[in-house]
Amino acid sequence: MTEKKLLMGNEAIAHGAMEAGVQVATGYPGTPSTEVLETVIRQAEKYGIYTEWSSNEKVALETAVGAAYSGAKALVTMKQVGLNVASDPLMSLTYIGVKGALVLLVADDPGPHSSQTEQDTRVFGHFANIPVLDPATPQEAHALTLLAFELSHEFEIPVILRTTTRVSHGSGDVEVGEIKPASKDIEGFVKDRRWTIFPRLTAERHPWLEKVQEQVSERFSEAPYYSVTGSGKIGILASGVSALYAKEAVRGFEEHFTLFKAAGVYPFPEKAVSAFLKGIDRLIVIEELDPYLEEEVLRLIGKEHLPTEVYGKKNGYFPFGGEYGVDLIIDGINRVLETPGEPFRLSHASPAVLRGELPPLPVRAPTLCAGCMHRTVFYAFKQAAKHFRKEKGQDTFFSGDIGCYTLGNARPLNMVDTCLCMGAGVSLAGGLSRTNPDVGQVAFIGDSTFFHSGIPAVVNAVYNGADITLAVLDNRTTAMTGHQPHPGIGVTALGRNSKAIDIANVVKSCGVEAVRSVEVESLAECVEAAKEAMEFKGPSAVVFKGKCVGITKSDKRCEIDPELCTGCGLCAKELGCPALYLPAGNGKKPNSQEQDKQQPQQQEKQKQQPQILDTCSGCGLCAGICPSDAIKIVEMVR
Amino acid sequence: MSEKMSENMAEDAAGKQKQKQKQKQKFDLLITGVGGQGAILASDIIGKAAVSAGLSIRAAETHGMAQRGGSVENHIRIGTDLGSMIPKKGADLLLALEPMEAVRYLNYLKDGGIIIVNTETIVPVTVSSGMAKYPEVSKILEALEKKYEVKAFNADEVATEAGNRLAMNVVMVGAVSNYLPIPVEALLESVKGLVPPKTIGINVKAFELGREKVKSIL
Repeated sequence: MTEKKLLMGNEAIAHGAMEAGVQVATGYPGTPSTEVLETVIRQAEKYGIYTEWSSNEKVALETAVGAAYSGAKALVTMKQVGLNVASDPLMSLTYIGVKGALVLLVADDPGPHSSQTEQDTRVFGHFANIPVLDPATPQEAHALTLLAFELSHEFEIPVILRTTTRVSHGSGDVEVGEIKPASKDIEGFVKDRRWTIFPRLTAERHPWLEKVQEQVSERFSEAPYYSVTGSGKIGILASGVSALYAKEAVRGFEEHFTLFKAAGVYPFPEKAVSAFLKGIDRLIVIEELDPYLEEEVLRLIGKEHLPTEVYGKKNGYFPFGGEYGVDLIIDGINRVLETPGEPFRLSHASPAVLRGELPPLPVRAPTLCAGCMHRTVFYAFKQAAKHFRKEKGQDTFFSGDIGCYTLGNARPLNMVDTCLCMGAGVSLAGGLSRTNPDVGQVAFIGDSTFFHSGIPAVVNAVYNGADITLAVLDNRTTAMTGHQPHPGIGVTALGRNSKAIDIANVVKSCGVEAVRSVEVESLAECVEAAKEAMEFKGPSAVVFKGKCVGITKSDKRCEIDPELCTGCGLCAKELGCPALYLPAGNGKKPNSQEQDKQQPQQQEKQKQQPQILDTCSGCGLCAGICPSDAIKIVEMVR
Repeated sequence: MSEKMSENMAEDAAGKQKQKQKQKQKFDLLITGVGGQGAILASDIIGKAAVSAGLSIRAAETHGMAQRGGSVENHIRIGTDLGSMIPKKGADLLLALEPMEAVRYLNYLKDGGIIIVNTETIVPVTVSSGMAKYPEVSKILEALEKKYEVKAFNADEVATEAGNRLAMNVVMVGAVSNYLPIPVEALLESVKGLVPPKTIGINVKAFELGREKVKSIL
């Protein structure tokens, strides 16, 4: 029995995994992958699936591996950079293989929209000898999820289902099947030397692993792992959403083209592509991120001594980076058509010319929310650093990390000097301290990131005596990815109570001697704690505890006393709070009608004074810095 | 495909009829706004209604970092089996939850297309901290009207009238309902199914006020 539902790609994948009978699902949140596990979690109790948010991707994978060794069907989810964290167990796992089934959902992020890298998981699959499936739509993502579990079980190897942002966060009408309760009939772990990797075992398994690559390549040369449409002389080789964009780009000119759409991308479907190449004169390769298909097809053309000309990234027809779209592909194909002098061009809608007549638009970048505790902590350290510069002539470097607080890099806060990857800030600050001994080192890290990969860096700082200050921004949630729980808050993925691990205690037990916990309420107290920690010689830490305004309701807000406000604008200029608005010479908030209704003298006064908007949650940071004491925190009247 | 059709006149006529029907149901909608305004819920309401009306749909949403007050764009393509991203000059209608975000994505709107825009502004931090200036809303609208059919009103005020300012996104769904190839009943059912149960009354009113508001703008 099937039914049609509106599903996001990630939901369709979760649905597919549950239809496939997944028994254990783990992961670590990361855009654009997060909603896969969130969807499974919502249904976990109903269908008897074990689910967890693990402390990081490596741990999530290893947990899923244990389940798969026991014969269970396991799913592990992460974003592309999470795969880097999980790569250590994964590289070894391929030699050992699995018994039940193990599917890794890895979401790539061309653009990138919300990531540090534009890495390509198809290439990772090649590197690690793991089959990779690359869906183009939510419907296909659903179908390929089911196939991924089958492939993994049949070949006894992990399989990667790789999506991109537009598949994961695209939605559509998806035909789904029935989900049955997860089977309780799991064989269980059976002791065997095959589970213990050892140089000899690796040597034994390597030929098997290579053999599997050949077998899966053969499989991917069969339907439904690829499709060919059209019979034109210009071939297009594409996978994922690029294949759909290509289809739309050549609309009206279909007779000239033949589209090979690969769904099983690694191992490369050599046999099917070879047959396809024989029917075309030239080949255009269209793919986001790395020139993976292009390199594979060039290799194949060389191997088979084919005369096919290939147009792709490597000879400049398509860009290496960024997200593709129909327009970009039309331009690329038209450049190809010029080369051999084809008589036609794809029709292309040029952008509207109106833009010149419109006023220039200010950038609207993501910002820390109004009332976010991170802003208070950043500002406190800014004040503390100012103090040390004045008193001792000492500068401070601020290492950041991955999370909402990366947004502390924006003006006017400007408090993130480095950001590399999850957990890097603490160790990076250690490195900076070795080469910049006269500069103070502060490393900001969020609560979830601390548990993810911050702890080994703290241990290292203590072990090797790095003079750094750790500032933990503990807002008691994994905020950026949509408020998932983590080991510090005493709640599991399913909302059950568990032991809350206290960050300050962890830091103390790692050997940090100067550890202090501060509730983020008053700016003065935060400044004082920052100064004290920065003053300390050797590793020190402050755990700043507060709430995430994204999931808590406030009944307070700030108000400006128009009698006291001198209109200096310091609050708006210094803090970058989205609830503070400084009228830039045009009176009220630029909101047309109301503006005209006001009396002239009223307008004149307001021109000088900042306004506090409805988004204010009354954190009082602006009140704390107002030199005229003109801002008050008031209880909201409901 | 066209060759095959000519073999059978009756089939041809039926096919054309079907094609026409399909053409009529094809609609590319771009929703733009600011993270936190509820653009995703607006997309979901329309998407779910389209599925219940038996229409195929592709949509692309902005999640993640941009949701923290950044600029967001949601693409909704009704009656397509292609990708979820609308090509440039491909959108039939631009539904902007914020005036500046109408301008930012104009390249997607077809010439002479319709813009429904909420005139209530949200100032970005670059503006609120005095680093940049927010363009005059009246100037934005004036420029837009030269080339597009513009329906501008303050949807936050309409939502407040309906009972809660937060229902602004549903006001805008009501406004766009006048143009979508989706039965209004399906949209209303979708609203009821997706908003918090306690707020159904307010949201239904918001939808209806938004729908009427656009009709009243010439």
